[in-house]
Amino acid sequence: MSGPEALSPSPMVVLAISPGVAIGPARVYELPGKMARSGHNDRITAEQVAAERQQLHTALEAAVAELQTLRERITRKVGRNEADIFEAQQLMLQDPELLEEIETLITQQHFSAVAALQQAAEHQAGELEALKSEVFAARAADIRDAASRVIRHLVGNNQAAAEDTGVAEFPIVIVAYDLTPSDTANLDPRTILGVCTVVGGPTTHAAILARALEIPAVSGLDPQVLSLLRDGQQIAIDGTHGLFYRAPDVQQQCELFASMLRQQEDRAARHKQDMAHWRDLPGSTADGRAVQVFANVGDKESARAAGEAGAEGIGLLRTEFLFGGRAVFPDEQEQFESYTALFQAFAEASPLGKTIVARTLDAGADKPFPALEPFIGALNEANPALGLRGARIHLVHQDLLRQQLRALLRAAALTGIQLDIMFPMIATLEEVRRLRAVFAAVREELQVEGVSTGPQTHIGIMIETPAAAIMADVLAREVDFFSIGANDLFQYTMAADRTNNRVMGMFGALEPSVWRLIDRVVQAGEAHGKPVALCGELAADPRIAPLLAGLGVRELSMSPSAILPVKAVLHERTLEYWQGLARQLLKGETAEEMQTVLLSISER
Amino acid sequence: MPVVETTVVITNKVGLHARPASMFVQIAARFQSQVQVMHGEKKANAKSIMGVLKLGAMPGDTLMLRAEGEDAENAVNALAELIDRKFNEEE
Repeated sequence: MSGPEALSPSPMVVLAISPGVAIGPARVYELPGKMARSGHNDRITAEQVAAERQQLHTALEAAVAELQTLRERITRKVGRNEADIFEAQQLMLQDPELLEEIETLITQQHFSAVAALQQAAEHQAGELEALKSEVFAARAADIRDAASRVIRHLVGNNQAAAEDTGVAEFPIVIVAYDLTPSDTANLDPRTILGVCTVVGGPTTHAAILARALEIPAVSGLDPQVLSLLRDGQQIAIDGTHGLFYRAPDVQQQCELFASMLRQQEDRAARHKQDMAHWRDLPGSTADGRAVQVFANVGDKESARAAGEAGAEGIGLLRTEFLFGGRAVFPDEQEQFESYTALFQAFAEASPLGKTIVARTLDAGADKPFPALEPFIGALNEANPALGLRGARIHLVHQDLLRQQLRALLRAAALTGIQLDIMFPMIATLEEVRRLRAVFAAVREELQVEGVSTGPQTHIGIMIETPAAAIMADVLAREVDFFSIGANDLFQYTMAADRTNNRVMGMFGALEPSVWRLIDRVVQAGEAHGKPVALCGELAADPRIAPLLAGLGVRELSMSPSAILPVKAVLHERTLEYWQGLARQLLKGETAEEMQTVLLSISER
Repeated sequence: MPVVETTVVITNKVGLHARPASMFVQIAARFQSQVQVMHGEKKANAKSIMGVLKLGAMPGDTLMLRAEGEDAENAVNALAELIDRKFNEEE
């Protein structure tokens, strides 16, 4: 060997972060952090201040909305705890102290928005690092990560930057000084073979995410070695044993490749085994009684995921994805195009069904939409959950509802989707009648225009208020189906904010009052031959889902990740068995008694 | 305007960082009162996550909560209770 000793094939010992072997060409990110450099003017003139502030706020809103999407995706794919870090980043971008500092720099010192944001974020990060504590220093990385996200929006190369490390055209091993949680969450396991960093321990969020995504990773690489590495150079890591191969020799390469292939095959086989069995089968009990398993979907990506996960339909399409995080309300054409893309994505991915139940825009002060404010004013309500929301907004602004219904019907006609529509937040029969009248008018209007409206669209309502549940026998006559929004029904029945841990801790996953209301709604539906569906966390709980089926709910709608486990558990017993347990639950007088029945299921 | 003060000891495992700080500022933001948190000589706006993080409050540290406004009492109680409950860390 004539080269420098660092080129010896013997591996260096590093920290094991995420198990597995990765071998492939290196992609090197040398700089600590990836704080975007603006490269444009740092100072502005007095006349530009107003426009600069406007741009800042638009970029902040976009970044917060993006973090929301990321947070939801990681919650779905990995878990709630791992997603929490993005909540903290959202709060940082809404922080009064940080915003004031940025505003002052722009208005008084005429900093550009980018320069002001960089300075303020750096200042705050520095103060956190000065605390000389590892946990607080990690938050300094978060504020920089969050600020970089805003700066990407400000300098307008968002797309390029977002995909910088996340996606590659061919498989690579990433070598970086550091990876932020955002970077890691964006890694695509199909092309990122492995990750190797200088800093970062096994307990960081980035490490947890890497393990959840099953991407092998090591850290503790010597920064000097990093600076010597070049893009394309063949390197390898062993995340199980904590080894880094800077220049693996031929024999090592063969072994490492074989090992990587084996682990990829294992993973593929494991996934396939888990998936294949239930994916292509419709939900049913052991005696073959159908219980449809649908998915809750909030955007095009999750529509595809739902189809791939074996959803028999979309039981709750949250149309809010189109309206959130933007300043201007989308017009009919834009809505039509988005729905069409989403419907197509689901139809292509789903082997089982083509039914989509769309919930009309469920906005309100608890789910604020800046784009709605020009129409309905700022929502400063003392009690937003009890305020102007859902169908109540539709009835005040029927033009917005008409626009949405037109776009949905046109998209269904074009894509051949069986579209059903449901209205959120119904409390009275009058609301149902008025909404049906709007729908009838829209349908007629489209027919006059010669637009084919496709197959029969069923019109249903969400049962979320105790008022609707109590009136279910009357409402059932005038709708085609019910969909119980279990989360809100729980909140309104118990008069307890479901996001308020102080009160939610006092109640069980099931409360007798809520269970009785669900039973009442199911019975009203059965009496009038109207199907009853349920969406919400209850349907995703494998202990509770089969009992809902036992109660008579014939369609359960849940997050895509819950579909296979729920299909599996449903099929373990006959419908009669589940009916027996559901009846037993109806006898329960306390949450504790109900819990005992649930425990008997999970211990089985 | 009513002013309400109380002292609380941080007892959760990790101190007032990331998730606990997120919960803390979100609860503080529900109240109209001005709420301050003091940790020794450091003082922060309870509705600012940066401010709260920079207190660097670790397990065993004592914090003083001070609220001023119509709902000051509720604000202080809610925050003190969150800290007492260790931010729901131990399930």
